[in-house]
Amino acid sequence: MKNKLTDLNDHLFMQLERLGDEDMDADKIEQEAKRADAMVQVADQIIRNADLQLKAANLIASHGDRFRPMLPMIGKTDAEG
Amino acid sequence: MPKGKFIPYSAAELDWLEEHRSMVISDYHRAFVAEFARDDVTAGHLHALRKRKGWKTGRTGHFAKGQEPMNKGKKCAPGTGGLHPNARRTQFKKGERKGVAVKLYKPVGAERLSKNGYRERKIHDDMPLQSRWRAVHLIEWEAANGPVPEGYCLKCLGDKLNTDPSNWELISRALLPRLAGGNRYRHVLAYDDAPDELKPAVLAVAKVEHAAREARKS
Repeated sequence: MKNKLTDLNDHLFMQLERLGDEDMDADKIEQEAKRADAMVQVADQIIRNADLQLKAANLIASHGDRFRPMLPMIGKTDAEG
Repeated sequence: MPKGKFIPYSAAELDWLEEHRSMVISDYHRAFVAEFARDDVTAGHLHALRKRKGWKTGRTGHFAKGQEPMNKGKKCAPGTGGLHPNARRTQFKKGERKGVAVKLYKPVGAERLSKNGYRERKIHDDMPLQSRWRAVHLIEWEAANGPVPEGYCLKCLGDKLNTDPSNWELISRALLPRLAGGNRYRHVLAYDDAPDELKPAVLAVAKVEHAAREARKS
């Protein structure tokens, strides 16, 4: 699975290179631009998601485990079993 | 002339006054007195009469564009007005700094933190005032890479207080709207609000979007 943020950055930079390619005809450019648009939408969502995860982790880190039941996405501790 | 007493004008006088209504008030009064030998009428009376009758003079009292003030470049008589010793005492002499300005003055080379959290350095002491302070990261980046090209700016990759050129990336100004959150609905995560782990991704997305827009133009 390639699902780390660094992989997202790699994908984006690869797309940048493809867009910066010199010898592309109009159809190819349109195709790459469309792909870029789709990537931007997906990447935005991934970033929002990661932002939310970080916020949740921060909440638990700064306020203790009281909030853990409300944040199932963080996962369970071993103690809760 | 007692106050509140009616001043009678004959029909001939009124006709003359209406005909010559556009004269300047002092000349108007002088000519009127010369014409009809009235010693009970002052310039003020005629001025009031003119306003009462609604006679317009055609003058607005405004300065026309480009008109020079009557006293432009003239100095007042010595010892009066702005040259009076009491006035001179409180005026600034050329090159003098006193009062609260002494306390507030920062020498060239001093640094401060701007309202937006960037380090700024005083680079000279001349006018215009706004050009005295320059962001330190800009100074250092330009020393290393030459001036920032038109339409580009520097974006900080991490800590704003780190002014090392390696911490600043040259980006197109076209990315700035998106990096500020897209639009008033902030539909994308703003670069400055993003946690440090996400900043590279936010910047990369903005670059891809911009590159796609540019590719479509060509």
